Amino acid sequence: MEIILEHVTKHFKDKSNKSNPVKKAVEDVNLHLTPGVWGLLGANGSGKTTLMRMVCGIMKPTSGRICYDGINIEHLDDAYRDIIGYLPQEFGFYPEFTVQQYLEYISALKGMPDRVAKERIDELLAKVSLEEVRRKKITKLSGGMKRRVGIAQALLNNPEFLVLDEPTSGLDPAERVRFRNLLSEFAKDRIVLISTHIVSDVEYIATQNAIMKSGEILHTGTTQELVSQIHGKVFQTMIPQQELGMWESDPNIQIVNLRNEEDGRLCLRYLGRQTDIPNAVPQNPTLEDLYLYLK
Amino acid sequence: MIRLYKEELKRIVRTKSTLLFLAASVAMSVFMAYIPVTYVRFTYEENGQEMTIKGRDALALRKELQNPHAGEVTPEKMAEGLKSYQKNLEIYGDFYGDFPRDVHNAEIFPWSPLVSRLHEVMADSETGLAPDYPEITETDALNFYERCRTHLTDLMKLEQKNNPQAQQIAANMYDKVSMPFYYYPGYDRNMFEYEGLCLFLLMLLCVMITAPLFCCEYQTGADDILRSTKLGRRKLAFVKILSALTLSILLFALCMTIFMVISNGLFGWECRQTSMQILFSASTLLGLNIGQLQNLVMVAGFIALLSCVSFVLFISSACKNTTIATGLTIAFSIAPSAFYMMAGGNFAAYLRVLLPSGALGGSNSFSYALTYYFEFLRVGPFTVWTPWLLMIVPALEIPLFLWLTVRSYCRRSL
Repeated sequence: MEIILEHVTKHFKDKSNKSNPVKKAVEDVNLHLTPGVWGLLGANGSGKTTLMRMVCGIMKPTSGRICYDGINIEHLDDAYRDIIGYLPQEFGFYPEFTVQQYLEYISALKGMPDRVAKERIDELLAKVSLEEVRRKKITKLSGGMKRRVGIAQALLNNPEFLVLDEPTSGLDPAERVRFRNLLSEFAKDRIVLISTHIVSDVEYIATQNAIMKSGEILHTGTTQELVSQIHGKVFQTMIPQQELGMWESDPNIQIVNLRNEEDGRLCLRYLGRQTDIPNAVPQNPTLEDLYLYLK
Repeated sequence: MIRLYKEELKRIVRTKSTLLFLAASVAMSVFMAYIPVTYVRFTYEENGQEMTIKGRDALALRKELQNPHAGEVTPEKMAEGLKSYQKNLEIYGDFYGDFPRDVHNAEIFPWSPLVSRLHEVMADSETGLAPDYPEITETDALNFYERCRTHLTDLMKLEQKNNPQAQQIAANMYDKVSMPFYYYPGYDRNMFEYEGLCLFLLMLLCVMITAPLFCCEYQTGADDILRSTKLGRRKLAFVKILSALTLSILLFALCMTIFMVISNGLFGWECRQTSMQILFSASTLLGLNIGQLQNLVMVAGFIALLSCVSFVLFISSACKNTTIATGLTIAFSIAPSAFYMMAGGNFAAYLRVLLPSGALGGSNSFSYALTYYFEFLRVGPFTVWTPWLLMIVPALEIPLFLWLTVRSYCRRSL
């Protein structure tokens, strides 16, 4: 199973900008998605959601094509939608639904038989820890719970291709860990595409990553491959608090993390050269470092 | 698909606003059916005092007085009624002023539904004005049915002076009106008008239920998830359409059954056999009795309702949010009535035919066009009686709007 994106481009009309009325949301994206968890990293507005909507067939590319096992998804139509599960960034639902009713409705939309749907709903509600609130209206749930309902609906049809747009927003740390484990378990022999700007969400579970900026894919590869690009560029050092302003304004370094120490000094992690700040010690680069480096 | 259809129906019915509108529709039907009987009044004299009774008591008394003349409207009955009118006019002068109430109730009121039709058909061919009762002869009364035909010809010459095609169509239609007419007392024109009003309000409630069907998904953001599912495109559009139509049809059946049972129960089922020429105008072009007329108005209302629902589905599929969709829906629903009242003329006449809600409302409605007016519209080289257009055009619009709905929904955001 593979999903191939070939020269996928999406342009929108930008009525507010008369000098340049075309907004390029996604530009010439080429990706070859194979089974495993794929992290799509990018800042807000980088084109991740547009790309995901195109991958799900909700939006047509301006040019280029998206193929599932060699066949253009436009030709596959509902056969393609039968194998996908999608959680959009903004999880909308009908306000009159309880959790159970909503999942029953979506399972009908996914063409699942009644009995199969009921079993699957029970199983998923247990997995996302929503059994106790199944008869509650979704509007009454907390943000994290609503997100879990969204995840459950995406998993209902046991999709071969799962597309999750910012799935962890609103989840607390424990829920995040549970979600990662659920996803790792689920991802065997399937393609899971997760878009996020929270790097830690995908750092541990993504087998492949794609980094997106201004509508373009800048880099793809495993976490190891990607972070190797900044090997020898990540350092950590201790500085007095009063020096922070000076280093923040230094154009040669990019501060990626700051931590207050008990002795009043600051532990500073930065991208740059070892000689930029005295007593700097080399660090193993992370995906977050790379993300900030490319940003 | 069937499971999705059931789920979608359940979803719509669970919505608070839908439940509210469903309850309002049922309550409105009961209210509309009952109201006309409260307008019935009867005044009589008791111990020298004038007493007025209302509602069902008044209706019962009126029926009791008019019942002796129920059944076939024969020329002999017309002549007898005219004789009674003329005899009393000779004694008391006119019906106004000091005309004794008890004499009126005993000698005039029982004949009035029949004699008023005779009076109508004796109108002058040039001026359209009816003569005074004493000028009408017994021979005129005995030739009532011949006079009906002559009067129709005269009337069409006055109303459709420049349209000989319309005159010919009217004459052909009137040739098919079965005579003699029949009369069974009790039925009130108010009830007929309330049937039209009930249909109009029912249409408004149905379109309010339908208006959010597609656009609320765009508004809540539920749309993206639905569209990414196997049945989430064309099939979902079909299911939504089918659900809206099912709900509207069931609601229509329920509300109109309630209306018909209550109103006919109050006025008397036998009244349905009265010829519409006796209740409205002797020149009415369709040979139907009141029961058939009620049914025809209901059929026209049903077509208009489905056309409105289809139109609203299209609006809903094209609008970004529920407020805009509901606003447009209400505006388009009342537009024919408003235009017809304010502007009138040819433009309003054509507009009402083209808009899906054209057959519903007040003076613009199908029932008015059927009973009170002799309106014909030109469609290219043809002249067509407006009530037929008010049925045909909305019927043709139903598949058109439904096709546009599916197209608009499937193309959205692609």
